[in-house]
Parts: sequence; structure tokens; C-alpha cells
Amino acid sequence: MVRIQQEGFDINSEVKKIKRSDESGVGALVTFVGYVRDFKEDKSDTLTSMEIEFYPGMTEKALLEIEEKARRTWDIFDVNIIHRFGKLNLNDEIVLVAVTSAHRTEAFRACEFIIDFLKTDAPFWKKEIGLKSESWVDANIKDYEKINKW
Amino acid sequence: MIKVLFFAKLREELKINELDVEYKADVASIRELINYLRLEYQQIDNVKNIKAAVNQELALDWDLSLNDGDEVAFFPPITGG
Repeated sequence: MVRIQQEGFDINSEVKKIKRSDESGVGALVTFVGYVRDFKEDKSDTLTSMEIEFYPGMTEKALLEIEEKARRTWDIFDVNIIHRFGKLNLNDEIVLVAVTSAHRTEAFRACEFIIDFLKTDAPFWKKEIGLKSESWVDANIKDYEKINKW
Repeated sequence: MIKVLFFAKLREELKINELDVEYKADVASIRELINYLRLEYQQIDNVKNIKAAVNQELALDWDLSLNDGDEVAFFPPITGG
């Protein structure tokens, strides 16, 4: 399942959506949570918040395609992807990827696969708001290099 | 008509979210469309590595033919996650 939302999310309740206590086949659950951290390209400035923009329609489709690609590649049970948009403050959660599987290897690899492709294929854009200035984040070449290894 | 959308830094530089462009023979590919838009919005060149999507699918080939009614989006490289 895929969701794009402005409001925050509770990791525990999101995880329970894909790992109910009565589900006995799940042997592994891996989660990734990305947060707004204090990092600005301009080292003399301090980040206070972030603004995230997306492309309604295309972004949902891109996330669903990434989920499908992960399901075709790894033997996994369920996936929960949430990405926030709008104004986020320092330390706020930005993104959640949770994956269940029978075994840890598939769950770990599928989770990493999903967040790696999310970084290059899902249309989101981040703007860093600092005390002194604001700037759109530049794409990271390393994110594209990571994709090539899959 | 071709519906054109702009996102992120490109949207801010151009000060416009979307506009309609009349579909005609000399504006029939992504490359021709962005060159046509450049006539009015020279600020397009302030954004590097612009990407395009046609009908919400990333388009790598900018010589791809457009159809009347297409939705074309231009945006900077993706930086989510």
C-alpha cells in the first residue's frame, strides 16, 4: 500500500497494518524511516524546516510501480510506503518503507530496493529552509549509482 | 491543447504552475514544446538537468511525438525520500 500525506504517521500503527498479531507466516519485518536532519549545502546556515512538493497522480503511480517491482523481485508478503509532503520541521519523519516476508534477507533487500528506487523514480522535490536562506536540494549522483547496482 | 505543468524550482523560476499550449505541427515533441516555451520563459535555462514526463510517465526521449490532449510536465531531478 502507498500513501502520500501531509500529516505525520505513527510508526507502530503503520507497521501493524502489515503485520497483524494473528499472522503466523511472517518471519521478518523491516522498516526504514527517513527524517528531516540538520544538513544544509551552505555550511554557514542552519536548517529549520523543509518543504516537499510532489506531482499528484504521477507520484502515486510511481510508488505503486516501485512496490510492484519489489514484489516481482523479492519473495515478500506486504509493503507499506508513506511519503509526506508540505512543510516538515527538523526531526520530523519524511518517509516510511515497511516490508514483511517469511525471511529477513528478502525483507531487508526489498526495503532497501524500495527506498533506493523511491529516491530516483518517485517525483518528490525537497526545499531546505534555513535561518538565512532557502534552496532546492540538488539530486545526488550517489542515489543514481545505487540504482545501477540492483 | 497540451497541458503543461511545472514543478519545484522550475515552477518558482517561471512563476507559473501550469498552462495550456495549442497543439500544432511545430510544437509536436517535448523538445519543440520546451523550445517554444523558452520564447516566453527564458528562466527555463536557470534550471539544470530538466526532466520531462508525458501523461505522468517519465519521458527519456525528447523527440517523442506528442498528441493533442497530452499532459506534459517539466521538473528538476527528483530529490525525495
